[in-house]
Amino acid sequence: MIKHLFKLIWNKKKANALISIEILISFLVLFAVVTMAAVSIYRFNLPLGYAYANVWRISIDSRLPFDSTYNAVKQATMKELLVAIRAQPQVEGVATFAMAPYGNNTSIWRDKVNGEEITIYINNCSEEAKDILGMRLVSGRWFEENDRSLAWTPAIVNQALVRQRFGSENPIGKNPYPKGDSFPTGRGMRDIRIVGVIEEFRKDGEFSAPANVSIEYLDILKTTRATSSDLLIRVRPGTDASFKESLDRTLASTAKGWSFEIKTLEELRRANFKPDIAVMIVVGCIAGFLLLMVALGLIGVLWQNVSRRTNEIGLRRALGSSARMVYWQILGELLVLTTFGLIVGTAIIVQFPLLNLLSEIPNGIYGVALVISASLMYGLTVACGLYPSWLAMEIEPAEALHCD
Amino acid sequence: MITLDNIEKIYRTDKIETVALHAISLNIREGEFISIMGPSGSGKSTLLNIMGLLDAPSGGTLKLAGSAVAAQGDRQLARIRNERLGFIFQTFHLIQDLSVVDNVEVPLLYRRMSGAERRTLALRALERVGLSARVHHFPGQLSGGQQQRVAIARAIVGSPKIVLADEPTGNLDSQMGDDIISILLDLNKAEKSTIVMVTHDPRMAEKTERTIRLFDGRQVN
Ligand SMILES: Nc1ncnc2c1ncn2[C@@H]1O[C@H](COP(=O)(O)OP(=O)(O)OP(=O)(O)O)[C@@H](O)[C@H]1O
Ligand SMILES: [Mg+2]
Repeated sequence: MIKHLFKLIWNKKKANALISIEILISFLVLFAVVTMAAVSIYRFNLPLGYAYANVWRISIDSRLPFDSTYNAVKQATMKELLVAIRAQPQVEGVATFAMAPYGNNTSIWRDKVNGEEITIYINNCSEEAKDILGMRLVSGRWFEENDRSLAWTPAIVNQALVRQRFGSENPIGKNPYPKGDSFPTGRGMRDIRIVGVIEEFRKDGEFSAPANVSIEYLDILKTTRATSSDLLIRVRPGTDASFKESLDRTLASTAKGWSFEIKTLEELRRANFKPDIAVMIVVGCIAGFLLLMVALGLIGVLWQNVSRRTNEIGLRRALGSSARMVYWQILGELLVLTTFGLIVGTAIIVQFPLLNLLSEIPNGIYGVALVISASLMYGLTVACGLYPSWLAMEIEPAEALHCD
Repeated sequence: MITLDNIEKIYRTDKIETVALHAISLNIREGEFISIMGPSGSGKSTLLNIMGLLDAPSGGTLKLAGSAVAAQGDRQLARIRNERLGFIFQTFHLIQDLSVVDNVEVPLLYRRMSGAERRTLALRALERVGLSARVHHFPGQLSGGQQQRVAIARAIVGSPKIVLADEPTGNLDSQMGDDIISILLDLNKAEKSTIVMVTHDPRMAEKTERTIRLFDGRQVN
């Protein structure tokens, strides 16, 4: 019977090619969307490297002029600010972070080394950050107070960087940046040494791609040297938003003329998700709309197909097909067409360099996306075929054979 | 072989009721070749469709080979049609997208057998109707007479006991019509097939053993 269906379809290849192409294109679109969703879900479930609950960010703008007094004034005021913040009963700890989680600032070092592209996301933080953000050390040591007075800069890197730069070698004591390279302003190689390795630190949140990260030590008193530095505070669980205002008042009265912006990491996280979710919604809607159009078109074509073949269906009934079998035949033809579209689609997808586009995504994810989108396509075409097949089943053989 | 007892068929549409058949009682013996004649609209096709289990009578009983078929479900009816009945139509009803031999194989698709076996039977049936040279043609490439011969091959490929033909020569010129009738006569003789043929042509009817005449849904003699 399956061979017979193939024959029927093959002998009508022109009409069926259109349906197959329609199915093929929908499949490709669906695959793209499902892959996007699968990648998002995959990334969402990767370790983040920190805990955002009960952490608030204070962005500081000292508005100080860069003159001879800058450092002295700033550090003195910073000291007072830290005293004021630590004095708050709601505050459990404070740290500095050059580019705090869910923020918009990024600093990237990128170069080709022996033909291999290496990208490192650079960050800075003080020794308190580990406890504030609940970061987990895998090996080596975390920053400590003494790091302030070292002649070299200690750095903590993530496992991804270790894997790419050092493989199975012990990275401790080594420079995270490839030797002989200048960083950051062409002033020659800085003396940076890895002191510890963390599992992960995905500053840009759950939907971001994992990347190489190197976090260098930053003295909390020097927080405002970098224009983008932020303070992170850990508040007691249950601290509500009203503390924001009182803290803001305290800060403003401690550092006259400076300005502060206080946000919870949860707020920043939500804002950070917005564009990702907006893109997903838009893409989802477009794809959904497209599939709806395809589905309606398919129902129409199949319906027309059944009425064109009324005679043939009546004949098959006369020759021994039961009504059920007519139903399954129509669905079966559709499944053959779908399978054909999916095979061609899969062949196209496999050719695609997509698999290298997002190198961190394991191929299994694409496999899963392929299986899911193929199943969805089967579901869609079968759903479209149900009504036309039912119509075919309801054809009265005597009447069908009567008319020409 | 075919026994009709008081068969009625009433078509009900929104407003009108058409009595297509009224109190038809018939007994067709095994191996008999009978013809049904009557003016257009007299119920010939309706009667044939009822015998062919394509349509259910509104009243009366129909027996095929001694067993009543009224109480059967669609699956069983389909199976009886497939195994015991062969159909030939005025307009051939070949599937245009299938080659001649594939058309002939269609009834066998609803039986459990290998593809090779189907092919053998189909080729044998085509040989029988003298179309061995055209097995890979498509229906559109054949003359009307040739198409009807394909349809006959399809009707007999499963060796049914009964062949029902609704104006098999209606669309053919008299030469081709004669060819078709002689194939049917031969089939009747050689295979002892029971054949019921609807026809408008008295010349064709004369060649059969018995003619049943219908008028306005009633049997007249
Ligand atoms: N599906 C139907 N619905 C309503 N009336 C029908 C239907 N099929 C047939 N009839 C009516 O039943 C009567 C008998 O029709 P039938 O087709 O059996 O005639 P026929 O003798 O085969 O005619 P012809 O020689 O033109 O083929 C006609 O009056 C026809 O209009
Ligand atoms: Mg008729």
